[in-house]
Amino acid sequence: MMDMTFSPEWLHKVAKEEEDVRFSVGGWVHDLEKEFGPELTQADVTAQGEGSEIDLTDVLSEDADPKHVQSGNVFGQFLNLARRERGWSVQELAHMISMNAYDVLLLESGKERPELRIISKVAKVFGVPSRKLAEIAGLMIPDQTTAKAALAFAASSSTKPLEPEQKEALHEFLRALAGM
Amino acid sequence: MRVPAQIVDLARGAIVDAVLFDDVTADHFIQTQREWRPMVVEATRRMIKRGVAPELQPTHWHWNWENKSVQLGQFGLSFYGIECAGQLQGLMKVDLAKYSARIPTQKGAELAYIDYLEAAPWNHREIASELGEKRRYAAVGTNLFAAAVQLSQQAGFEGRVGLHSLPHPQTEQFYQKTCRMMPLERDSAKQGLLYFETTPELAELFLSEARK
Repeated sequence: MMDMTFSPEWLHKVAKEEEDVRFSVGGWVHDLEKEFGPELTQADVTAQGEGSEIDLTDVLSEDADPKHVQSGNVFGQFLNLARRERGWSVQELAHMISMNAYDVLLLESGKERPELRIISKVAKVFGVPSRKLAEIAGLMIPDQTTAKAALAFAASSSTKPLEPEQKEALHEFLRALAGM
Repeated sequence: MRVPAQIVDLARGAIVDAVLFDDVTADHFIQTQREWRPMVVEATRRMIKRGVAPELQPTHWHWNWENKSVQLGQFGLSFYGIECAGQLQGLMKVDLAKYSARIPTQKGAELAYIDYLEAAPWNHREIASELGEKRRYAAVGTNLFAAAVQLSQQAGFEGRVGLHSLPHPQTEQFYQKTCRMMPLERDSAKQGLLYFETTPELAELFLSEARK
């Protein structure tokens, strides 16, 4: 059991010393601003502050619809296909971008949204513009061209025939489910 | 686990009862998005409007604790929160699996890595002040740090804790002087942030000073 009993003198001392401390460990963004552009701050503050993807439409200048991008898990699909196209395992990619394999799987499946620092690493690994990746991940507002391209990518990816080994894995999974 | 803790009510200058808990749920994350994030975002907006230099603006306005919901209960991860006056005052994520010690005498030993730590915006002087309010509670972040030290001890890691500090002189000084951590290196894998770590002896020193 933890003992969180500390002396009153220490607590008062810490209260004073803590006054100007920035405890937000884990949230570094300023270096990323240099990479993603100066308008990141204002655009993302608007988008994140509303707490809803739908509210993003309020700040769109044209008719690009980020909902299409986000609902299609375009970033996850991109990550999955680009990794496989290079013949890398999840573990190999995870090592390259300093993540664990489980987190990479969460990104690929769209269950977790990537942070900007991860997008920055992914962009370097695959040689794509980090800003565009941030747009398709729903962290920045995409322009009309990007939004349309992302939607087309998501739609085409979902209809691509399965590779033989994927088919076999699927059938094996279905057999396992049927036997449960 | 829920254990009694104490923080400082700054309006009254008095020590008040709080609760440290590890049964953090998705509801707590949703609470941070509803109650914390709008304040952080609004303060950041006002700072941008006033032309405050980027390095003086809050760096965590884009956080979304809800993204961590899938990690609740995941092996090797622990989440802690502090409540007081019916409100969540601070939240921390500690990783016990992925990181190991870098101090030469400890190299490779297991440690508790503080991956995320955030105090509620009303406990953050710069944010509260930007919104025309006064900072409400103090010692929230330090209590969470003390919990990480004890978690490390209980996990058999002898109090070893690691974290990356924001690039902010007062914060780096706080980790070194108050938390008794050793500054090690600017980490190129983490945007050049300064990495801090405790040894078992420094962890004991920190706790003994807190209880003196």
